[in-house]
Amino acid sequence: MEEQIFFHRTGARTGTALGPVAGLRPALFAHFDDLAKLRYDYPLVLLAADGGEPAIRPLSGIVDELLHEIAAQGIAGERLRRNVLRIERTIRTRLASGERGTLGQLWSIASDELEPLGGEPFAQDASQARGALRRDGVLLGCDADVASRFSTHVWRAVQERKAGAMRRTIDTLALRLADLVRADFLRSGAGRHAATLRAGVGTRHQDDFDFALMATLLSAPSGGSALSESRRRRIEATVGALQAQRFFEAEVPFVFAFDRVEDALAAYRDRLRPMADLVRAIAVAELELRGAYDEAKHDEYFAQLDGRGLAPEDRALFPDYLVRLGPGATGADGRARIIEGLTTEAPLKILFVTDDVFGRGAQLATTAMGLGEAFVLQSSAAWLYRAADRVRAAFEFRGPALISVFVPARGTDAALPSYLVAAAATESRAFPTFSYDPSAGADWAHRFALGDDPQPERTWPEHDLAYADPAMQRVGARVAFTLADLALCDTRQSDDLARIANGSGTEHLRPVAAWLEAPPDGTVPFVYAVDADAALHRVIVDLPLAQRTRRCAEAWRRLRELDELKRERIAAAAPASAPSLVPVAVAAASEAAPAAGEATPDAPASDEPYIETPRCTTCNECTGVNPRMFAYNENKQAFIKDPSAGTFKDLVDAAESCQVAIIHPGKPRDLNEPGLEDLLKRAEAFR
Amino acid sequence: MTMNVTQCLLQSGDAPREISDYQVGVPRWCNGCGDNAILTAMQRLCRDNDLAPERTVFVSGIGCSSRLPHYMNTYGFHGLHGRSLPIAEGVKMSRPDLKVFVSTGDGDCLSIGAAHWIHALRYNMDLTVLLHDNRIYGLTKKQASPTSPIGTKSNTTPKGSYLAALNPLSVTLGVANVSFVAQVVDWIPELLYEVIAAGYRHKGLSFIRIIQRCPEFMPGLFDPWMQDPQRTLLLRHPNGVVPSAELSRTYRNQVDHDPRDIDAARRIASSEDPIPVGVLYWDPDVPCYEDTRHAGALRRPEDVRRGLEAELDKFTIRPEAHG
Repeated sequence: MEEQIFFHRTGARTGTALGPVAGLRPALFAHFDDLAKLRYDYPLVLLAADGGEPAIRPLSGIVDELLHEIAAQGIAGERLRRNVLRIERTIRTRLASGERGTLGQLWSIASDELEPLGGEPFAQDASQARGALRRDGVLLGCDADVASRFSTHVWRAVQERKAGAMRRTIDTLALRLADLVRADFLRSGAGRHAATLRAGVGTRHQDDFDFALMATLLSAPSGGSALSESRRRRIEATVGALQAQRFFEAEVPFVFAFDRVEDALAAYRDRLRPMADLVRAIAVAELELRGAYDEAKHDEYFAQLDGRGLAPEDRALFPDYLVRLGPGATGADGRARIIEGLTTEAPLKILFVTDDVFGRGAQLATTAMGLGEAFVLQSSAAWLYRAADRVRAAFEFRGPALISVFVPARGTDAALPSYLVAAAATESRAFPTFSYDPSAGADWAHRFALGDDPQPERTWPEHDLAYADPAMQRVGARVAFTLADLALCDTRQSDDLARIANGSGTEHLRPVAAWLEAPPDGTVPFVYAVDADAALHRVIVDLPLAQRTRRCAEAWRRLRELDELKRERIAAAAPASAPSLVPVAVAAASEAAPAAGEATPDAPASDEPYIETPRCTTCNECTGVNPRMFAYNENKQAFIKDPSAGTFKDLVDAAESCQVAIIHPGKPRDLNEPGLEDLLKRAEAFR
Repeated sequence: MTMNVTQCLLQSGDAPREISDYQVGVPRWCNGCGDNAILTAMQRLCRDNDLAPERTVFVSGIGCSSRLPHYMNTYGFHGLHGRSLPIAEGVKMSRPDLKVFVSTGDGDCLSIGAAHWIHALRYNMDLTVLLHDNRIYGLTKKQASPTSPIGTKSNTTPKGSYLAALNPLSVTLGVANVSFVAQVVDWIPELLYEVIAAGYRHKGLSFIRIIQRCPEFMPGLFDPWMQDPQRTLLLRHPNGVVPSAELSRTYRNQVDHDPRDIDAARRIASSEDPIPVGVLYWDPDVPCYEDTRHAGALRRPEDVRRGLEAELDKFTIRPEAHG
């Protein structure tokens, strides 16, 4: 027992009761040996983006859809289903052993491998399924370069869509400007020259016309004004500038993917001038095509326009700069550069990959959220597919973005599959999934969102652990998965852990999650582990790791607090949902005093004539009776412009002809008007 | 405009447009005709959204309703009977950058143009379609239309019409890809404007049936509804239209109806009394044909030549093949 406390306090193993943790893994991993047998997110297929469909799909999803399409329901389709699933599993195994390629290629390899075993029926099923597999793409396992390939694929899809739209705009403008010049040429003397006219007619009929005579006839001015010399030069220069651009599907395109922040920033700064040139060319083209270019007004402005004067909306049309940083960038220098990159106006999309969640740089995303204006996304490699729409949002965001991804390093993971370690990093709260999107709203409640982290309501996710005790009796325990459990997956943390030899006393041990909650009482924190033979062990956690586990829990609670903020705000903002077709109690609302400013007078109390203008349907009846008395307002609805411009009879006639009965004649002004008694009687109906 | 810069330069110094900028000519409709109210609402919509007249098109077929483009100081196309929708679709396909409005009547759309109506709904192109429904052929001096109430005496049905009226809303709500369906009456200008504005904001085909008075040939047909506000049922919802407090003082018969709910929309559509007014159905996620088919493709001179030659080649007898 002393040895246990001594290790916990000092990290030094003494005596024989404590051993190293090499070969141990978290007890909850006992069930996961061979991931190739499981159907989970990976491998992913990087589909070419077409028609806006998701550009990344899990292999299992593609296979499920395929089977749904080709395999008959029930027992009839069972053989086909089994065979296709065998192909899927073989593809997974091949990938895990390091093979690379597209889905189509691995499909062929897998079915060739399986065919000798399955014979003719298998070959038949495999070829039917292969025929129905219409989409193809590169397969992506959860490897060391997963984050880079995943992000590059999404980035490229977003950029291609953006560039395609811009390229079409630029081509359209260039074409229409060229049309202007061409139309002008056709009107000019040279355009009407006999030789030009001759060239415009097909060779077969060239001898049928007298082009010299035609040229003479056409030489009379047609009345159209030719392009001025300065306008022609401007248009030609603009077409030249549009064709010389290197940003969008150009022949000699600029490069937009980098491996260092400073290179991307330098490239962005170098390109400010070409950007300004292209913006100018597009703006001039648009003005020219509308005939709105005014030399006196616009020449000076465009001469001054440079990179600094570009509006954010215009900048956002240009490509973004992808910067892919490997685990080497986690030094203090590297982190400072990333922060610098995120605070400039350059649209850098920084992919930051870390392989050490215990390291200093791992929590960069939390720091970057504080910058306020950059999009931030954090996710482990295992959660990437689930966060795919967020990854896309980061690339579509107008401005800098940081995508921080944990990908386990080879050789430090105690031979565990990296998917499992990455998932454990999310599970243990060491690397939760969250995003911060400045474009989603003005406050944290709208901007911050947790991803679908497991059991978000708890500090640590909990799972059932069942094992057999020395008497071979089943024992069940509810255990939490903490940062200290994750440490078992990383050999770099081995010194902070010590295995208790079988038979040592366990009475002073307390699971680390409970230990953190309890006041100090002389107990020692531990986690459960299993060895290669699935034997259960208890592993003591030293004080520094226990402290880090505590800080990890606190960091998670802070994130959760931000997320709860959102739920509270949204709950407060959402109106109580009303079932369909329930009459609305408008009566109550209408009896309440109208709010200041929106009060509208009811019938004026005086005897003046009036019109309920907002109800007027513009039918021209009253303005037809007396256009000086009745007129239309700025919304083309009638009002009484001048009650003295007509007789009481006009008012009564108009009221009677008004289709919607909104004219009220009031009391007569001239009490000597002929037939007044009769008019008053008729006006009664419109009081 | 692609560039914010262009937008700024174009706007600087321009006075905002007024209703009179969209007005041209003197409407030839009868005094008291509901078409006047629709015209005013359209002109207000253009003004309030500052639509450039040279980038706005009004398309129509034949009928009283279809005279509307004549009085809009924008581009217009007064088409053939029943053919307003195909023409509008063609305009949109070729120039997706233009705002396209369609004015059609109960005869034009629901009778001779019925096939185009159904398929235009399926295509779901970004058009704002106004169905001026006065329940009679007015331009040709009173013949029964598909929406004439049973028993309507007209030149073609002197003993009264025999068929029950067609319900344009129910039919529309039964067509695949329908994305926006609303109904409004011409005599409540505020709602007329708001409903048309909601349809204009929707990207996709907005089908707006406007129940419209014809004082000349169907006098008094809607008087019971005009005189009793309780016989108008206002559909209110943030996803549709929320009537103002002032309007609610008169029109107290209101229900909360979420236009995302197509079943409720279908139930409401079949009600004739009270007349439901507001947005019945709205689904912003239905794809537009011009987007899925990549409308507005760039036609370079070489593309045009290639296309023409391919067409002409169909009729060419090649000497080498026959000689």
